[in-house]
Amino acid sequence: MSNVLEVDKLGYEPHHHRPLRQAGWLISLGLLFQTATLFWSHPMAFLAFIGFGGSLVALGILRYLWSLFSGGQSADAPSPAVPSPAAPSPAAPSLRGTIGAEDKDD
Amino acid sequence: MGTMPYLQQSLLIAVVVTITLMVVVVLKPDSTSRRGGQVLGFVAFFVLPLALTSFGVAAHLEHSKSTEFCLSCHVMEPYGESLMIDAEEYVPAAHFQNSLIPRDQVCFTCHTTYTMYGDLRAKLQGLQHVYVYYLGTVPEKIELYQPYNNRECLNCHNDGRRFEENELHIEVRAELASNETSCLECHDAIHDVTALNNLPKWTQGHHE
Repeated sequence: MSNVLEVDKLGYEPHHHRPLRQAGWLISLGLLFQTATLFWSHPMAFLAFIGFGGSLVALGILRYLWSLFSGGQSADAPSPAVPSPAAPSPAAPSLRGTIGAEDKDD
Repeated sequence: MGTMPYLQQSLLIAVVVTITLMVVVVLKPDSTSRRGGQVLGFVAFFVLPLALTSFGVAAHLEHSKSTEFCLSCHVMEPYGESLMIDAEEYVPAAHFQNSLIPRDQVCFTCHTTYTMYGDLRAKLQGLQHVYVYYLGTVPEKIELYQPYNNRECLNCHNDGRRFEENELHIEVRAELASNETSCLECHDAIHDVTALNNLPKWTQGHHE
């Protein structure tokens, strides 16, 4: 029971939050860096704007789009609990019960 | 400087607004399950960052026209100083000192095809300049890649009375228009950086 709760905590919540948070950080840092370069009057400022600021913003946008098109599922987040094949599934007892009942009737 | 330029101020405000919107979406991620939240997220995480980056590129391009930008490289400083030569025959100095060209865009006014505003080759040459400036060896004498184009002069002087009524100009007008004859063949006192220390300088009336 406690194991299931732990998976819920670690698995489902970050699935929803993490990509947005990561994208937000990347884009915010990128935009702030880009803005800072506008106050620097030097050819290197443009290269820094595109090379570093632009890369951060692009990565953030890609992270956001990835989360959008992957339906909110994050590749790096732990996946929710998958029942082991050896363990009985919730449907199994009723099925067995049904078969058992049929057997009994026969 | 003192005051923040209008464009940079506007961009800074837009960046703050964008980050605020992103914070709202990150703090309330469940809102993205609704239509309004999805639109807000798309605007905050995609549309605005792309738009701001585009405006930033435009702001950098606009800023690269400034005299301050060109002279920010150490190797360009003598060319800036050559604008203060106190002799009328020196064409760039005469144009600068008599405010015939905007003082805050002195270099770009007469060198419009240079690096960021030129074609792809010019842009690659601009990158090469940055590489040479930091990692290579800057040549002692800096020269243009191509002969100076008369278009830069005729852009202002063409149709001007002093230019049109000058007999010498009338004789070679077609050749000047086609670049067969360069304006610099007669007006050859340009950025004489090698003789800079021996020439008198204009020190009055210059405003930063």
